[in-house]
Amino acid sequence: MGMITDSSTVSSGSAPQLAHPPTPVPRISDPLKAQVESFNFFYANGFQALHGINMPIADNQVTALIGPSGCGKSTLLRSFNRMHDLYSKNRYEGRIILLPENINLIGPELDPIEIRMRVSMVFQKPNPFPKSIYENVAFGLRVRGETNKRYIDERVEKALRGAALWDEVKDNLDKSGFALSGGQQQRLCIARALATDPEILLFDEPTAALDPISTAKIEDLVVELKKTVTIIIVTHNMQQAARIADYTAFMYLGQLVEFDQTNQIFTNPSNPMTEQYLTGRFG
Amino acid sequence: MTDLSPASSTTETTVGFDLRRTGNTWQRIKEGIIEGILFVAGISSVVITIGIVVVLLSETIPFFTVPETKTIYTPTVEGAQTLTISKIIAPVGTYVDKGAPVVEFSSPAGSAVLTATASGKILKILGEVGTTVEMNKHLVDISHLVTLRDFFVDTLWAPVFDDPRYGIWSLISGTLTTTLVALFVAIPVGTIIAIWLSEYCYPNVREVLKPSLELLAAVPTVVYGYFALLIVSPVMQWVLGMFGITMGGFNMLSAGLVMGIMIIPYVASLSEDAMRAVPIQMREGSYAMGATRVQTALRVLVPASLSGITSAYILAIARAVGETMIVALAAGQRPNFTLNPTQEAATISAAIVQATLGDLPHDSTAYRAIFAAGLMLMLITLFFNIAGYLIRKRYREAY
Amino acid sequence: MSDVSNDKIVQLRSQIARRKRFDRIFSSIGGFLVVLSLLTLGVLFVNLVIDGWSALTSTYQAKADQSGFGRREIIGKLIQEGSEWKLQLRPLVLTDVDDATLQPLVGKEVGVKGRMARAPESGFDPSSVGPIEGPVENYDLVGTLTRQQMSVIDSQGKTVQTAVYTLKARPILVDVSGIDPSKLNPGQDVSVDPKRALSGGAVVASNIVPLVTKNFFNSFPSRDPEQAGILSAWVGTLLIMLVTMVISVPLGVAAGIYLEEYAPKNKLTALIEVNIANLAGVPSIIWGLLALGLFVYIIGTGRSIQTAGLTLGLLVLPIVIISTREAIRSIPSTIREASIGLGATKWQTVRYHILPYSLPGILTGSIIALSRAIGETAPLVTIGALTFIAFLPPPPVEYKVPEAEWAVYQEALKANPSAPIPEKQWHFQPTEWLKSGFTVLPIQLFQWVSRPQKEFHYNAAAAGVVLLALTLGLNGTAIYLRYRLRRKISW
Repeated sequence: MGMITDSSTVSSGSAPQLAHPPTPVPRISDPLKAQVESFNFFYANGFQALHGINMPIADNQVTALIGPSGCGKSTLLRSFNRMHDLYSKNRYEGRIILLPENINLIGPELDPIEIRMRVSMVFQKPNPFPKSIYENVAFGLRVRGETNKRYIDERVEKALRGAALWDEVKDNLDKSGFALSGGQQQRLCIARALATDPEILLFDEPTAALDPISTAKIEDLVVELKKTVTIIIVTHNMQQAARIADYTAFMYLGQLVEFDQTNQIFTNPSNPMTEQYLTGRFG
Repeated sequence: MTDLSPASSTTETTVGFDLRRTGNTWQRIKEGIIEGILFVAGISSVVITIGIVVVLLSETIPFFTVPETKTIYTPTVEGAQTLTISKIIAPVGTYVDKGAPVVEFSSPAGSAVLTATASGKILKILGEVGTTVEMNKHLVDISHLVTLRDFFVDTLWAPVFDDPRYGIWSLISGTLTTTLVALFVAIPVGTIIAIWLSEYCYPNVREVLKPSLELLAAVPTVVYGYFALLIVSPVMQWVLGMFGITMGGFNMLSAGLVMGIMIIPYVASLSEDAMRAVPIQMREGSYAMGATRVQTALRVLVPASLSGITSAYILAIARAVGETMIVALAAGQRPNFTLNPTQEAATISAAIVQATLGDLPHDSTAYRAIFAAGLMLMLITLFFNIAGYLIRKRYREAY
Repeated sequence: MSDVSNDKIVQLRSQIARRKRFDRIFSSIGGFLVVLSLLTLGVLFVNLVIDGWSALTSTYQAKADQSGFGRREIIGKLIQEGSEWKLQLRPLVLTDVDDATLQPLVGKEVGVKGRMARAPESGFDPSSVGPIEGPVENYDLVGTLTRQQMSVIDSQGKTVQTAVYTLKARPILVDVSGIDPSKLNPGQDVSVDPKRALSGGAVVASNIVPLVTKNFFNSFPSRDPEQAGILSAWVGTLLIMLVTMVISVPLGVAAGIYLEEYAPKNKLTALIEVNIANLAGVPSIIWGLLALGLFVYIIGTGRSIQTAGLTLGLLVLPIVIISTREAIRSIPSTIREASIGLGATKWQTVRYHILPYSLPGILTGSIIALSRAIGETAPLVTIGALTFIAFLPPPPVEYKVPEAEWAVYQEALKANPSAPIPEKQWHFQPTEWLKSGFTVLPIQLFQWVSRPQKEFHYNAAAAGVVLLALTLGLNGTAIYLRYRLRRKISW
């Protein structure tokens, strides 16, 4: 354990110290959907939560962010659709490039609303709106001002099918979203995110609040969804990352320790800290 | 309290043991006495409520059950000096309806009939067939009982008239109109302010603005009454005058508008509390879908906090229904069965004020009538208050 | 797949711009409404201050013995010349004069006899003025006459030229025999009823009444709007608030402690809770009916300060209970556990921990309750507080002539004007004031607003300023306390 920096020195010191310097990010051969470049993030109270993150996001692949609590993985994920903008005085530095247009997702000139319409998010706790199942899925279309009923019907069905929920709810579309079970609610939230055809779908520990059977269904869904959308998933569960992710990033104390193809990271990590984490010696 | 109970029950036994050992029974007696005193204070609110209900009922019940004696005077016949009773149509003990003939007279100048000015039992007739009586003299007493029909069907409230009328509807119409005008102001304004405070305002600015807005509800209502009568009413007269509508100095419109301003904080503050009680995940879920602030507020937060907002509306209604001084000053105190806000009309509360301004004889039917009206008002506000309380309680448990 | 066409982006951006425009419009409306609401409060206050300013600041002179001015009263200043006391009258103005008769007298000494002064400072009957013939002692006043040409607006609204005469009277000798001269103050403004006091150019000192300067706050209500004030109203408000607080605070705090610390979780407790919430929503006029039906007619406490204080005390009781409960609830249970764990009894825990820690919260609630009670009108109207109150409740301790002896003296005075004034005695009447009739600020305001004359509305505005300043001040204090409290507590 002596190899790991004592957390007390981290909180009192300025920049956190890692016992092992981060492994250089490897170039990946898959086409890219996004690229994180020298990304820093500061919370309103001045705390720097992310330090110089560099990371590629492969198009139509699943990228998993893993690491112990407080390592900054959720903070990084929420930067992709500018959720931090909801709370004033949070500050981004660096760039997150969306390809192929080569636009900077965190650039102040870009409207966060536009980004959120292109980069959707599914949360840890299922958070359906207090509306019917149908209206929950149609929400994204309605806020865009879509009024064509036929079109909305079509998209709702497609999204629900995409989220593997259609068969379970097709006769009860008018029922409240709260009436569903936890796993169904989470799939409803996925359908809601899919209905607007996002380019990237962010998952923030989507199965943390679910039972094993519902978890399995969501995991299958994620693998299925990557055919149509780029996925970034934060997970606490290393097995889950191993099962569903193509690429995995291990983060610690706000830094990216190692990024590689999932089987590479799990079988042959190049950084000793990654190995310690994966073998459960801390976390 | 409940989460404490295991801890307190164990310590109680320890204390008990200690006391027995030291023999300090005085301590335990003292504890008991103090708990008794606190209990009495605790149930005082129930006693007060019972007191209010008993007082209202103790005057309302006699209002409907104790008859009042109505005196009827002999009619006037042009050209005649005196009248002679020629026939008693309704003898003592019979029941007559209002307007029914009671006594027939004859005189050199012609005959006349005395009719009942109120329904009831004939108590006394001061004369018999053949008696000569002067005109406009007390002749007949009728024992009149105010019926629920008089109270709920009549549309005039005039307890101190010679021919008293107790139609509560003319007061309810005034109460309803002023309340509706007030809600017409307070609900849209209060709701928009609530949304603005919860979604648009910086939290530290909100910390200042919200209590400042609540000051609107702290202004004494009699000061609002001054404002309504002497400032708003002339302005509204001028404004409506431009549309060719003339309006008197006393009108329900001005009273209602000012009352609306007064209840804005009730709507805004409670609605804002309800909206902020919506879990953060739901709010973030909406923003993550690319919704704007107003879309998040109207499409997610308002539906999610609907019960809280409804209870805020209901409490505001209860407040408006019971408000007294603004309407007593600015809407006038003359009962008027109308829903037209440009008219003058009394609300239930204003009618009570109006009645107590004069010196009502205790034990008179007019005195009891204000308690019957008060009971009516109490029941209406109680209905809204309980509804608001239950709805609020439900939403508190929802998250 | 991720090839997003440019068209789609452009379309997206235009609809986002549309939505954000609506968002901005909504934001402006919301901000505007907040400002407008606060502005209403500001306008209300400023308007009251403007309308009430003259009433608030103006002063007038009144007789110290509170008797009104007579029709022929004159006002002057006491001056001392050696051992002699004299009365220097203010210049007397003569109006509606016959210019032809008076003009020859201008600049000369004139005498005034018999019917002379009208109301103070408003002039006097010119027919009583004439040149001095014979001894000066025959005249009531001697002085010089001056004439001025003035433009006056007459009743038809036309401007007319008129002559105004002013009489500057010589100082009159004051007969101080039978009076302790040390009680006279040089320079003191006094009023004299010339009908009784003036004889042969001298004035009897015992008929001189000193004048005091009065203002809105130390005047009783009056039929004359210029002289009407809020003395009895603010004293009434103060005394009633005393009773209200004495009733509501101990009872409310005790009830709050019982409900939070002692009450078992059963149906009775649930009933009490619903009941308190409902009691807080009972319209104030209903409390008035309670006061009238129960206190005035059944218990028989009369239309008095005690009835008013009791009624308002019960009215604000729910506010005190609710704020006490909130204050207690914010104390973490660890504190109770620590105290009980050290062997303290329940009451000791409450006495030494719960009460002291919740005190600021209770104080805040009590201030809010006080501000609510100060502004309440309806419950007091019903118990007949709308009568004309031009007296103060009797103080608990008074040094005065006993009433019976005073009546005897008044009788004796008719036969013998120099009857001895009876001795004053100490009176202890600690609870008399509770039984006194009263008026309060909001009632006074209500009464003045209800008057048709515009002048009374200015008085109403002035009373409104006082009332609003009181309630807003108290609420502001409560808000500040609550804010301080929230910042200070860190458990």
